[in-house]
Amino acid sequence: MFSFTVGFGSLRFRSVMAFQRVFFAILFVVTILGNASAQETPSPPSIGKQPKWCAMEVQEVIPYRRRSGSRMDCRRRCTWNTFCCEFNVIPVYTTAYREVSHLEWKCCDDSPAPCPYETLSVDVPYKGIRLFADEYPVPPLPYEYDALEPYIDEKTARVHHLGHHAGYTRKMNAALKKWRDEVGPGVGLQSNSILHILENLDQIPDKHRTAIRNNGGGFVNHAIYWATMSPRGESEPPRLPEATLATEIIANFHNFSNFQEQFTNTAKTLFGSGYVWLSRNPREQTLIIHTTANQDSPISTGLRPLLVIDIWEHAYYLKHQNKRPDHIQDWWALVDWGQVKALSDWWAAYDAGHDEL
Amino acid sequence: MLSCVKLTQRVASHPGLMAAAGTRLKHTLPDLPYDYGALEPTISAEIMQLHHSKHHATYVNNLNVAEEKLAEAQAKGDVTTEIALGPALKFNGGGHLNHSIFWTNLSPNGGGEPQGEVLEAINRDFGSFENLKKKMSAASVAVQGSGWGWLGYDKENNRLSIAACANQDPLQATTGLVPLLGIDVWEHAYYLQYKNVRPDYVNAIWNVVNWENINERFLAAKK
Repeated sequence: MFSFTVGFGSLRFRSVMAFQRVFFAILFVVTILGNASAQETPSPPSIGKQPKWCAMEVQEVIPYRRRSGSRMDCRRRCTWNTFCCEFNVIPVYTTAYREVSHLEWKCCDDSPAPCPYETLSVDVPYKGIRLFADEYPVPPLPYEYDALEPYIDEKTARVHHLGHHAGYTRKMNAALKKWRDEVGPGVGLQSNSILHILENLDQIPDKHRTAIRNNGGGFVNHAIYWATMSPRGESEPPRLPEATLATEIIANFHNFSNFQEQFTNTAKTLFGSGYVWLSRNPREQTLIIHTTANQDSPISTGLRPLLVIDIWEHAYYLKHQNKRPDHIQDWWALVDWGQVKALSDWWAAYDAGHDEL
Repeated sequence: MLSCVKLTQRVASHPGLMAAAGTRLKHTLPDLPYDYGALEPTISAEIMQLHHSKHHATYVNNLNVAEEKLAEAQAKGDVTTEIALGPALKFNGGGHLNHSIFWTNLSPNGGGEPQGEVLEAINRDFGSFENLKKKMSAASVAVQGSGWGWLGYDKENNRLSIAACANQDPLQATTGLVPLLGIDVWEHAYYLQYKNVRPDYVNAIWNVVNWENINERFLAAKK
C-alpha cells in the first residue's frame, strides 16, 4: 500500500478543495493499481510476519447410549386355570455423557499477523506442519492404538507414537525455542512454520541445524506415516489408488505392481535407519521412489512426499524382530490411497499459495 | 584348551597359509564365549539370541556373498561391479568386524572398574573412569539412527579417544583408531528390552563390560 503526506501550506480554501479532489483521485487510482498487481502475484506465505497459532485442548461433552440395566418382562401364558409367566429380559438404555478432548489450533493472542481463520482442527496429523507455532503438539493418531491390528500391533503403535514421535516433537520444540530465544522474534526464518524451516535447512544457523533437522524431520515424517495408513477390515478387498493417482503411477512406473515391487525392494535393501518415500517432484511433475537416511525429509530437497514407510527398527522390531520383509508386507495392507490423494491435494494447495487448509 | 573349531579358525585366519592352499577364506559366525542368557538382566537372552544368530549371521552370510561377487568381478576385470559392491562390503564387513569385537567386549563376569594398563591410560586421558563413562555414554546415546559408540586407541598420539560411527562403518577403517570397546546402539541391540529408552541400555551395559578383554586389546594395540 502506498501512503502520501502532503503539506498544504497557505493555499486558499477553494484551491485546497480542488487540490484535495485531485489528490484523492490520484490516491484512488494508485490504490487500485497497487491492489491489481498484488492479485496477479499472490504474496508468498513465507515473506513478512506470519500468523501465529496456539494449540489448545478443547473439552467437549458428548452424549452416548449406555446400557444401565434390564427389566423382566412377564408375558402371561395362561391356560384357563393356571397363571404363569414367560419371563423375558429386556435391556434398558439411558443416555450418558462423557467428556472427550481434542486438539484445536487457535490464533495466538500475540500473533504478529492476523490469522485467516479463528480455529482449525487437528484432524489430520500433518496439517499443523505449515502453521507457525511456538510449540507444536504431538498430533494425535487418526485411529485407536489397537486399530491397526493385526498388521501393526498395539504395543508398537503406542511406543512408536508416545515414545518416539512424542520425543522428536519435544526435542524439536526445545530446539526451535533455543534458536528463537537467541535470535528474537521478527521476520527471519525462525518465525515461520516447521515446514518452511525444513524447506530452508541451509539457512538455519550451524549450531541449531542438526537438532532441527533430526527432530523436525522426525516430527514431520511420522505425521505423514500415520496419516497415510488406516485400519483395515477383515474381508476388505485389495486397496488400490483412485483414478488420477493411479494414472500418474502408471505413467511413472508402467503399472501398479511394478511400482509396488520397486518400492518393496528399495525398502528391503535400505541399510541402517531411514524411510522409503513415494514423492512428487513439483518442478517436473513426476513421481519418484527414493530414500532418506535417519530423519531426513524429502521436503528439504524440494520434493512433495505422498507416501512413506518407516524402516527404522523401532517401527517393527517388537512384532517382527529382524524380519523386515514381513513388516513391509503388513504395511502395504494398511496404506490408505484416499489419504495419499488427500495429501497430494494438500501439497498442491500449499504450492499454489492458498490459505485454506 | 583349543577345540578343533578354534584350531581350524586359527589356521584359516593365517593369510599366508590359506593363500598358499589356493582357497578363499569364507567368513564364519564366531561362537559367543558365553550362553545367550549369561548377560541377564542387563541384556536379555532373547536379544542376545536374535542379535547373534540372526543379525550377525546375516552380516557374515552377506559378506561372503559380496566377496564371491567381488572375486568374480575381479576375474572378469569388471571394475564397475567391483565399485558397486563397495557399499555391501562396507555394511556387511563392518557388521561382521564390529559384532565380533562386541561379543568379546562383554562378559557375565564383567562390570566394575577398569584394570591394568588401560586404567592408567583412562585416568591420564579422561581424568577418571567416571568421566570416560559419562562421555562415552553421551556419545553413544547421541548417535542419530543406527551406529556404534567406541573407545579407541590413537596410535599416532598414544592416547585414548571416544568416537561414534554411523551404521556399520568400521572404526579403524573410518577413523584410524584401534577399537577397544564398542557399544552397539542399533535399535536391535536393545529394543525388545528397553524400547525407546536408549540411555537406560547404555547406562546398564557398563555392568557387563569385560575390562580384561579391553586391556588385552589395548596392550596389543600399543605394540
